[in-house]
Amino acid sequence: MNGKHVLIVEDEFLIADEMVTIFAREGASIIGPAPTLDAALELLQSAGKIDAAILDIRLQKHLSFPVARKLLERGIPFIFATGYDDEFIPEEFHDIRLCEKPVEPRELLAALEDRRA
Amino acid sequence: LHISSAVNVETFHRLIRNAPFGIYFINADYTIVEASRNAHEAFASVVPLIGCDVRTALSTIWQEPFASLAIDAFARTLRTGEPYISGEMVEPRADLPVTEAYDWRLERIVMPDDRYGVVCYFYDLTERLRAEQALADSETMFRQFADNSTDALWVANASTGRLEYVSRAFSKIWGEPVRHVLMEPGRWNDLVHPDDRAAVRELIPRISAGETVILTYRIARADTGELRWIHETGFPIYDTSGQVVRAGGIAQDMTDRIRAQSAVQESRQVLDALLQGIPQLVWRSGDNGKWVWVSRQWQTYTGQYEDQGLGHGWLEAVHPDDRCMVMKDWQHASEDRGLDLRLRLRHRMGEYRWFQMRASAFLDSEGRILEWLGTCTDVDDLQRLQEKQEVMVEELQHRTRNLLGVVRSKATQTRASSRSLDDFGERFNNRLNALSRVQGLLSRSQRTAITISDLVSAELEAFGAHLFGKRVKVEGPPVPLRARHVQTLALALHELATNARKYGALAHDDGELAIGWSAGKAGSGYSFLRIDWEETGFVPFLKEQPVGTGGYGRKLIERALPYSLGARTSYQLDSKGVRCSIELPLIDG
Repeated sequence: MNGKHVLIVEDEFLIADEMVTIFAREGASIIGPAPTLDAALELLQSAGKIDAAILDIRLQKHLSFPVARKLLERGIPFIFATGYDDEFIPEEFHDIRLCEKPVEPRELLAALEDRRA
Repeated sequence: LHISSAVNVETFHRLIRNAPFGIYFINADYTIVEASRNAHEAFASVVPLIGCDVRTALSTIWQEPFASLAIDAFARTLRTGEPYISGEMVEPRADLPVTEAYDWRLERIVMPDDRYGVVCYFYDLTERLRAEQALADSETMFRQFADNSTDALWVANASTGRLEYVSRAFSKIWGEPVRHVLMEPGRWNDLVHPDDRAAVRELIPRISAGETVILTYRIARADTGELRWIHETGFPIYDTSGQVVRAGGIAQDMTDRIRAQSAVQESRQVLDALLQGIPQLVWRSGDNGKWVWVSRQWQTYTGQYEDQGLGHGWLEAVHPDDRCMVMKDWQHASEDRGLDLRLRLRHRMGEYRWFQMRASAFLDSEGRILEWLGTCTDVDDLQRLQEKQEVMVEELQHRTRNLLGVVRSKATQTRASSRSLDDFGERFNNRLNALSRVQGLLSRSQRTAITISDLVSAELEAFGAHLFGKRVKVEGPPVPLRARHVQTLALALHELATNARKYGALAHDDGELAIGWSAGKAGSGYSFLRIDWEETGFVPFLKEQPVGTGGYGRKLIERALPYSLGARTSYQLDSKGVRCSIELPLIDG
């Protein structure tokens, strides 16, 4: 993940922390992690370059779909991370990969491969 | 008797021929010399009659031995002059296939030739006897009819009211011999139920006045006292002058029919009570959901009047979003022979509740649908429970996944700071136990909110804080926490407590631990919770404290709490001891 800028949105600290550790070890440059919808939207504005993102769908009281929409608009590849089996996903995100937590780097890499294909 | 020569012989012959009864004469030679018209008719097969020997004539029309007896009677009267009176006789004819009855007499007379002769005059009784027989036959027939009828037939005298005839069925119905009611005038009425006696007493007077009376009354059987229902039809019997001479009646035992009717009525009442009483909205429908009947329960729940629910009127009470679905289901109901769906119905006060609508088809013998019987059962509580359960199952699933993530993270973190496998084992177990306590608290949180007091007590109890007596002080109000605060906060407290026990105040003889908290009020709730953790009275081994252990605890306090819960925290470790403060917002930003 050489120097790729990866945004992590996840409300549970311990899981966010683990993903940060794993992705950092793989050479990614971490943006965030962001625990809330507001924090994630804020990072989208301020972070500059973003190569990929991992979005937890449920962020305490909110869903992360507004962030997903912005990522689509900007053409940034991303994957959803969820703890639910049959999460409700709006039609517009049906092409997005759905991964179980915690997300492994190879799953994000696979999503980036999809994009290239 | 002497026929005088003074009488004109011609006149005499004419009189005889025209006599309105049978009469004929024989002379001393047994020759028939004159006969009346009736005699000619009786001897119709003897032609010519006049001039014929009476013995031949009698033998021609009568069978033996009567023919000879009759001839002897002629001979005796002719010889001796004694009259002969036959009395009523009934004999079979020899010349005709019939039996005839006669009363006949013989007398000796002196004929115009001055010799003896005999006159025979006779009455034909055949017609009279035949009429009498016919009457007797018809009486017998009537009696047989009356006595074999299962209904009791009776006849009473219209003027005296006395019973003249009662048929045998009476004793079968009343349990009383017929002769008793015939002999005792009041007996019939005595057996009538007291409440019906007045009406029965009026029966014969009303009939006598020309009325046909139909009456139902109860009797008590004379033998068993059993109650029986009688259906009586009484009618007047007129004589030829148009006067009512008798009252007739037909009394029918209709006890069984009335019992069957009341059984049917009773079961219908039970059915009605059931239909109106079951706590479901019952209805009946024709094809395609066109209702033909609605129960009171439906009217009570929806506030619709009976006629408003009929046809497709009931759809008005169905939630607009469910109408399409229910009508679609009705279209398939005939194929499926049933209907079973869940929909919302509007209560008369405007609120919608969930109902299970079910219907099953009544079929005729050829399997065609006659009608539908349907119910709507209130399943609102069930529906809400199911929805809640779905949310809970989802939540549980989420929590379990999350928990596994936390466990995994803890294993990773603990491993990074462990010196040996044993060291890892002990510390990992302790952390798992802390996590387990939190789950225990959370499983209770469905019923009562978890307070900060609960969290602190659970953690202190786990490491045996009571053993330290007054060295551990705890003070603060029971401020309720949100479920999502509990896990992270509990894990942070666990790390603090473990450090205190192993390296801090409780690892030194004189060390003291004070845990205090307070909350900021906001309206009826709390705006924030501030926890102060202070360990004093000892000198920490600042340099010797294992980095990993302190590192993980501090990470939870200094990073996890702010990250996940938006808390403001501080952690200080210096020569005076440990001071940690956590300020947790309780209102979502």
